Amino acid sequence: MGNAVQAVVAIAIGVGGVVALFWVLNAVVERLPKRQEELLKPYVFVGPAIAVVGLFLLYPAILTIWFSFQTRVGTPAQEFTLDNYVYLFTDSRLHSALINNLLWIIVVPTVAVAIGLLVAVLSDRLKPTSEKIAKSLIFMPMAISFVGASTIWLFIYAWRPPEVEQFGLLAALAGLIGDPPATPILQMSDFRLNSFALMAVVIWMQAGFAMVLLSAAIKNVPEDTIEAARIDGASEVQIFWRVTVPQIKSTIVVVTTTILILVLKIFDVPRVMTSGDFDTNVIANIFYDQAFTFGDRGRASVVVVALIVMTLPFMYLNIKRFREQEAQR
Amino acid sequence: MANVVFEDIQKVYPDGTQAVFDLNLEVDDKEFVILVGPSGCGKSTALRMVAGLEEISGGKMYIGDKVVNDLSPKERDIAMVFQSYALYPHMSVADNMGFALKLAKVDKSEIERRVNEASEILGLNDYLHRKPKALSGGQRQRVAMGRAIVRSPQAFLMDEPLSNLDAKLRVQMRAEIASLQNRLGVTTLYVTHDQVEAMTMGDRVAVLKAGRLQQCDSPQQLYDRPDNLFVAGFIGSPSMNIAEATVRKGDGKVYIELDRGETRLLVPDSALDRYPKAADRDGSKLAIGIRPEHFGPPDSVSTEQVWRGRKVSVVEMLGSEMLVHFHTDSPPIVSEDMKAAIDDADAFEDLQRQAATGGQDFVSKFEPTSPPKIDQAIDVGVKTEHIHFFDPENGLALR
Repeated sequence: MGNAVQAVVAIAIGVGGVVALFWVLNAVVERLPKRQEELLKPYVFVGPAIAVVGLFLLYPAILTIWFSFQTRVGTPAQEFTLDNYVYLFTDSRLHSALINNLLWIIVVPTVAVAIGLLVAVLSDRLKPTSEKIAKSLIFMPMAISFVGASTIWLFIYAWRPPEVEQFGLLAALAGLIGDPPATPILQMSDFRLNSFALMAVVIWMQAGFAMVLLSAAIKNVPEDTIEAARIDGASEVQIFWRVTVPQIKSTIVVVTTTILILVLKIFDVPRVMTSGDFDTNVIANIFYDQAFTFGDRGRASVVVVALIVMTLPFMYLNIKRFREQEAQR
Repeated sequence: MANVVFEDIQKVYPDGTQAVFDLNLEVDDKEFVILVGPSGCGKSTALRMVAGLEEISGGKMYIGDKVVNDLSPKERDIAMVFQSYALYPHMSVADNMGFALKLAKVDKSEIERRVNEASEILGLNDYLHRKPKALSGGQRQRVAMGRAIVRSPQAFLMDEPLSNLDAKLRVQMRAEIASLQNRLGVTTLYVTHDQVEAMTMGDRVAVLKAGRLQQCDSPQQLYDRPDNLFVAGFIGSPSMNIAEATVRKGDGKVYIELDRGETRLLVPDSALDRYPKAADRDGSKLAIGIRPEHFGPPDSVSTEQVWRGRKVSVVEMLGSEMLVHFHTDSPPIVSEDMKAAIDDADAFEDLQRQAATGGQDFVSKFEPTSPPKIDQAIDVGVKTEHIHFFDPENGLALR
């Protein structure tokens, strides 16, 4: 009860405060001479937003870069150092994580978009009711949190020694067909299979997101162009690749980059399912370990800097794409 | 090139509604045939059945003596121009036009040659590298035509290709398409709801109503000798004046009584020769039709053909001609035929309202002289030698 009241008061103060701020600033500016008023007004309205972004996004980012050049907290003299960068470029655990991250950003967006596209195309041919049911089922995992989804998949991957009855779905299924696996599923040692097992969780969650957007895009493709292609002699496969896909290209790019950025900072799934063990570590998890387990601010910061640098090209692509779309309007 | 033949073609949708009934139509090689009719008459469905975009429920469809019922659009070798043009937005004009050839694995140089040839004909040379988005409506329409031309198909199918253009451009493209078809000599089936397009473009016009073929004839034949009330009312603009009238014989002559017997006009033998059955209906009520241009000044006809004391309700000055709407007490024919011919719910309601008051307005076309005033009573000469007679019940011409 007390919490609810507090929340209401907080919202009232927050929203009211913003309104009051703009109202006061506006009133002040309006008292100025006309020329200065016109000159200042844009800044009055954009200013607070820039200040907030600066305070909560830009300042911490700069601080992080600054920390990445400092020695460990608690060492006698905190000073400028490149040790953290030496760590970044030499630590084998970190490199293993980088390779994992690379695999994640290649595999997850591609497979999620491919599955989403497949479901979108196939469900488009169903009757309206069946289409809704099919799409709802595929979309449902989107509503689950990463931690929740990881827990669900831990049950799927659960493993017990062969002599005991299996309760994990996958192991039990394997037991039905042949022998249950001899080693725990998430502790396989071949070619980062464990990582792929974790990726399946995110693909399972994100395919629905891809499907919803792609399905909407496919429904926007004019039926006429499909029919024209049919008359031009295109087979259904040719129609898909040469007429449908080019017309939904921009949606495919947006969905892919969105999932890609999400995957770039993937943390919850490896953390919950393996804690980064068995060759499944990712950068965000290393950052977490460095910052909160080992308390090494410098190393944690350098990992984050690496992550930011990796994100930049995709951000650039997305913004460029967005600008192009805006320009077309 | 090839002929296209509809033999007892039926179209029944899965929900049981029938869109096309027993359609029989033969489009000769190199002929330009127009399918025309009010919205929902099945004309587009008929065209899409030729294209293979719509399944044929019954009957046989031939393209060039080959039954094509079960062939895919690809195997039918036809080209289609869509109302929305249906250009591929991600391809340049040249790629749009060459897409079908590319799919057919035609040589690159050959594709280029044929695309250039078509763009030459259509005046698209400067736009070959543009995307459809960067073209005007008329240019897009031309690209859609070009896409059809480069394939040199068995037949062109056009589904209201001009209805997205503005009025002026439509008139221009109308002439262009007609002359292009003539030059290329490709069998063409063209769908439109615009009877002016139908009249000006085609060698023959097939008029459809509610899924049934009403009449298929040359434009002039349709205009001069409509087979039924629907065709009479649908073809022509302004449309034919149609009213209830009684045939009376007297002194060896035949008259029609209008305005519920108040007016009696002489019908010359030439009209009766065209509608021999009309004279047999002495004393019974018929539907008569008079086109607006078959009115004239009183001195242009014999005294027995002058309709006296007509009250003017509207005068439209069109420069080259003058349309005078005048009132008559002759009730209109209110039937399904007329409803379909008018093809406009509001206009039909208006007709029903007029029918309830027992009269209607006639439209007459005059030379643009000094216009009569509204509510003025005028005498109108009726060239009854051009009058049309129909059975008011089944709508058939009384031939």
